[in-house]
Amino acid sequence: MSDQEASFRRFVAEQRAGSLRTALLLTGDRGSAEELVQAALTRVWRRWRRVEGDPAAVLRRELVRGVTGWRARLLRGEQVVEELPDPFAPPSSRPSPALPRALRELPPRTRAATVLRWYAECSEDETARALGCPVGTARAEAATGRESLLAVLPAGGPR
Amino acid sequence: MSDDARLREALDEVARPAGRWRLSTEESVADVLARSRRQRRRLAGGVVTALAVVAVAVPLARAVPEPALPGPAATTDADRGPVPSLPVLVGPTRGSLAGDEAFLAAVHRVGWGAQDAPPPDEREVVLATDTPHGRVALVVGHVEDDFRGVWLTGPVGAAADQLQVHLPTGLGRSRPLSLVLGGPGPATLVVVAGRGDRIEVSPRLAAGPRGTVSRSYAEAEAVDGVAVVPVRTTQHGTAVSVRVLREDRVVHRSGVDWLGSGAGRRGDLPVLTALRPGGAAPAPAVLAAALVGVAVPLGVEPAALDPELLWSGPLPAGGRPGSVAVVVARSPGGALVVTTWAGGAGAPVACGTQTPPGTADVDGLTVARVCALPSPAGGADDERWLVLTAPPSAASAEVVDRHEQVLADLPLTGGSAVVQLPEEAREVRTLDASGEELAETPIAPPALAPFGDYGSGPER
Repeated sequence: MSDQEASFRRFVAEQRAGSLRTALLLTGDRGSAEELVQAALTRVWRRWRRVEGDPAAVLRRELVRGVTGWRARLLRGEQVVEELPDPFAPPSSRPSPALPRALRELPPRTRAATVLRWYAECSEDETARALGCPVGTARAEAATGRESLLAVLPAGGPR
Repeated sequence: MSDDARLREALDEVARPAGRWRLSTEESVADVLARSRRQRRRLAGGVVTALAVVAVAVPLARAVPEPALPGPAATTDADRGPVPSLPVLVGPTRGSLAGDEAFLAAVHRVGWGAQDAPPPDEREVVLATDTPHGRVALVVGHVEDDFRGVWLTGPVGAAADQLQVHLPTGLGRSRPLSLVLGGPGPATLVVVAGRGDRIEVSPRLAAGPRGTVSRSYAEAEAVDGVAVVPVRTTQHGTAVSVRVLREDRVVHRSGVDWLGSGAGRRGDLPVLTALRPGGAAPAPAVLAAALVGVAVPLGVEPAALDPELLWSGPLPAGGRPGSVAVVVARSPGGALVVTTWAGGAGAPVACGTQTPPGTADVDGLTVARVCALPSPAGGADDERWLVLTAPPSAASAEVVDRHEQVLADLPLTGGSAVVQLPEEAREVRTLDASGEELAETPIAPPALAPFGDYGSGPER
């Protein structure tokens, strides 16, 4: 195994779990989320030797591209939102479907900005870089999404 | 708690993994590397093609000063003619054990169970490989004009004489063949296609919130026409479908054989009580078949579908006890799944499955469907039954033909009935106690293929 491959393996081990959760919020179902992450990781690996700066930021940008880019727009059909995330998981309490539904109804870029800003805890600069837009635009997208999601949350907490 | 903290906590709850992802970290890295290799190969192929086009086009352009006339229309599949049918299940042996001469010689001699086998020196070992879920070999040959074969499976490293014999389904010299080892849960899919064929795998059927069903296929890395792919199965079956492409056209699409099929126990299935009155409890085998029949293609266990028994009742077949069950489930993608099954002494029969939008009102559903059961007297003709269940406010129903002529009046018990299907019946009108029409429902014909869109084998 080359040094490049070894360092990429470490990167995947560190970043994949968090990326899958982010991708689940971006796509709405586990199958698409896993595919999104695999496709994004593949693009990161193809320029692994040339990556400058934080590769996690590159991965975030690829995740966003995967749901907002031209290819995603062309291929976008019905979004399948799974409320039963894993067929092999033991029965568990599930969150109210209102939030996933509200998330699904956000435009893809607004959803991406919202997820990065309020779930992945990215700064406004990081969110803007991932979206490839000015900071002000990213801030406005994230604020719009935040308001839409807060509107469906019960007052006392997430459930 | 601040609004930001509430939102973060709520999103965290939605994103919290409730189980395992399909790939482990190691499998994820292997998949990324394989995708990257495939993309490089395609890119290289594209560059070669582009260079070839330039090599031909540039001299032509120089030699012909006048503007070129419009070329012929784009080539269609029909123009390209049929895809060549190739012998797929042929030697030389493929797989990780292809170079193990001693093992292959021993595999040639393994018995084929109850099936008559060709003499050992006339058998061909098409595949011999180790996988994460065991060792597998595929051996074929002819007995007179009959093409036959067996899967041989066992633990990794097993000697040839320790391998178990399994009969493949859909065996044909030119047909790709698949087998799932391992499971329930993590498993390995082995696909044997033609050398140079492209293999694609769909993990399950998706049924979205609007009731649309679809499958998405992802290319699997194939070496010499053999793919070894991590998949998952449920307790009761596998949702996987495989398709094989040759010259960019699908030549084969089908479900896969799983050695663990039938491992699921009926006792693990949810116990359901009918939502609608007036019927009778379904035969356990009929209810089990209904639950498993929708859960397996969707890749989940039956209990995960939040199933409900909309209605069940007896089949009024003289001298043959039997029952009908109409089950409503909720697909992981958000659609409702309404399935109707019937059965008597024999195996339960699928009458058909519909996927209304997830927002449809279950209490208001009207199901009118034909169940075709083998005649108890034998013979070629099936018995055809009309199963009707409507909201309990429906007191009667009219069965009409395509000219809207009433063929039969049906009294309903609690909104439901099972009767012999009148000839030419096309639609059912349900009426309340005062004779007011409640709904017109087309009668759905019996299912021609099992729910799941697995594919039925050769496509061309």
